This record gives sequence, structure tokens and C-alpha cells, in this order.
Amino acid sequence: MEMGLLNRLTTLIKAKISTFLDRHEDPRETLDYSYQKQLELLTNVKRGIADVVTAKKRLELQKAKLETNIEELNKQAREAVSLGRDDLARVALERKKDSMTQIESLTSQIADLENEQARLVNTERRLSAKVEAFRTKKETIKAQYSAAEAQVKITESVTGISEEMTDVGLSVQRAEEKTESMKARSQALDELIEAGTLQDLTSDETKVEEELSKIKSSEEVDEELKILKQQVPLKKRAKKEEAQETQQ
Amino acid sequence: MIVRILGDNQYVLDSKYFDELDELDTCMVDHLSNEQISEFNRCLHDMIRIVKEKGTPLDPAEIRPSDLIVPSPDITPEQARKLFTNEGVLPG
Repeated sequence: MEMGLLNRLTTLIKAKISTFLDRHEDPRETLDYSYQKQLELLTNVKRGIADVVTAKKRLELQKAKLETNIEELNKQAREAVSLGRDDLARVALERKKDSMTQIESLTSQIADLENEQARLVNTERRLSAKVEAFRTKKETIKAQYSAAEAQVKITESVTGISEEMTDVGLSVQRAEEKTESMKARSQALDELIEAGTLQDLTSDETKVEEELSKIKSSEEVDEELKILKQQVPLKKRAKKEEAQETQQ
Repeated sequence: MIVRILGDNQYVLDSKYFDELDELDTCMVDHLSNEQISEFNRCLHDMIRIVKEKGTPLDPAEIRPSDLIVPSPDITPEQARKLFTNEGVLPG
């Protein structure tokens, strides 16, 4: 595989590992140093899993919020139509549509994080097994061989574990990038909510609701007025209407 | 031989599949340079399929270096190109 992709990738990773191996004069020090690095990496993987879970929960919360809003917007749209306010119904339906688009995108992001989580959990399990195997091997090598004799065995096991660590490091990096970009996106959604585009979806007193309650109260006034008109004789009514006009 | 699929696992694979993998590798490089992304992905996925179907996962308690390292199935063409230009594909 002269100039192939696999060759290139394999060489790059091996080169990185040999730099690591050359770092210590006594190869047995390499063993301890590598083991230290392995434990650090395991901690990183665990933290990576926790971060993915947190990011996922946050998205799920936003999704649930939007779903509640959609129910509310549906009610509001129906109410608006029943009151002959198609303009308000349109606003509510438009917001509902926006929310549905957001939900769709959140759903796929959540699934993406779900995969990432499963992948990291597998990675952690495999790395734990390898770290444990390495620990046993390390003690055996240190107990049974002189520095010179140990060299070959150390090179072999450290090369093997370093390759695993490089792979795991890539997985962690990738998960971090993913959670970062999702965090940014979900913050943007929060900002969108705060900025007002979707604000009315989450606040209790929505604009639509306010408008509807205004309509309701003016309807009540109309209703009362109608009753008044029936009750009060015509002569006096004229005066009352006059008074109302000056009030407005 | 031992083949690692990045982000997945290490597999023990009979060396007789080497030529097949080599062909698919060439296929990937060719399509990458011709910007034929879907073809590039097809070669990569064929390669991964062979390793997974014909190979057996290495015991996790065994620590052995791989003879061949295959990119993760979701490597992007940009990342693949970076492999040839020595830009940071690998973490520090």
C-alpha cells in the first residue's frame, strides 16, 4: 500500500507512538508513564460520556418545552378562528410551524448524541479492559526483566496500548466537538427564544393570549352594550353613546 | 493480520484479504482526488464491511499493535485529505 490512505494513517499513528516511546531513557519508566496517561484518558472518556449525557438532556428539555408550546398554539389558533381573528390564528400557526421545524432538528441531534454516547460507553469498556491488562503486564515485566531485556516487551505493549489511546483520544475529541457544536446550537435556540422570535412560545402571557383576552373583554363590553341598548330608552341612550365617545 | 477500524475496534483478519483492501484503498484515493465523494464513501464502507464480516474482534484484554489502520466510517473527505497534508488529524 504505497501511497494509500491506510498506509498514510497507519504511518502517522506509528510515528506519533515512537515519539512517545523515545521519551524515556529507562524503558521501565515508559511503562509507568504510559499507565499514568491511560488512567488520565479513562477519566477523560468518562467525562466525555457525562458531557454527552448533559447535552442530550438539555436538548430533550428544549424539545419538551416546544411540544407543550405547540399544544398551546393549537388551542390559541382555534380560539382565534372562532373569534373571527384569522390574522391572530395565522401568527399562532406560523409559530407552531417554527416550533415543529425546531423539534425535528432537535430530534435528530438527540439521536446523534445517543449514538455518540453508546460509542463512548463501548470505548470506555474496551479501554478499561486494556488498561487492566496493561497494569498486570507492566508489573510482570518490571519484576522479571532487566532494563535491557524488558525493552522488546515494553515496546510491544506500549505500542499496542498507545495505538488504542490514540484511537480513544480521537473518539473523545470527536465527542467533545459534537457536544460543543450542539451546545452552541441549543444556546442559539435559547437566544432565539429570548430575542423574541419564539419568546411568546414560552412565556405564560403570550402576545396571542393578550390579544385574545383583549378581544374577549371588548366582546364582553359589546355584549353588555347590547343589553344596555335593550334596557335603556332611546332618548337617554343617545346621551350615553355621546359620553362613551368623549371617553375614548 | 490485525486491522483497526478507528472509533470501532481491532479485528483479526486473514492476510488473504490484503489485496482486496489494497484495491479499495486505491479506489478511495482515486475518488478523493477526483472529488467523487459518494464513490469514496462506497469504497470506504466496502473496506469496513470486509474487515467486520471476515475478521473477528480482538480480545479487549490483548494489547497488540495493528498492521493496518482503517479510518472511521464517518471520516469526511476534508479529514481524509488532511491525512495527506499532515494537518492535525491526530490529537496532540
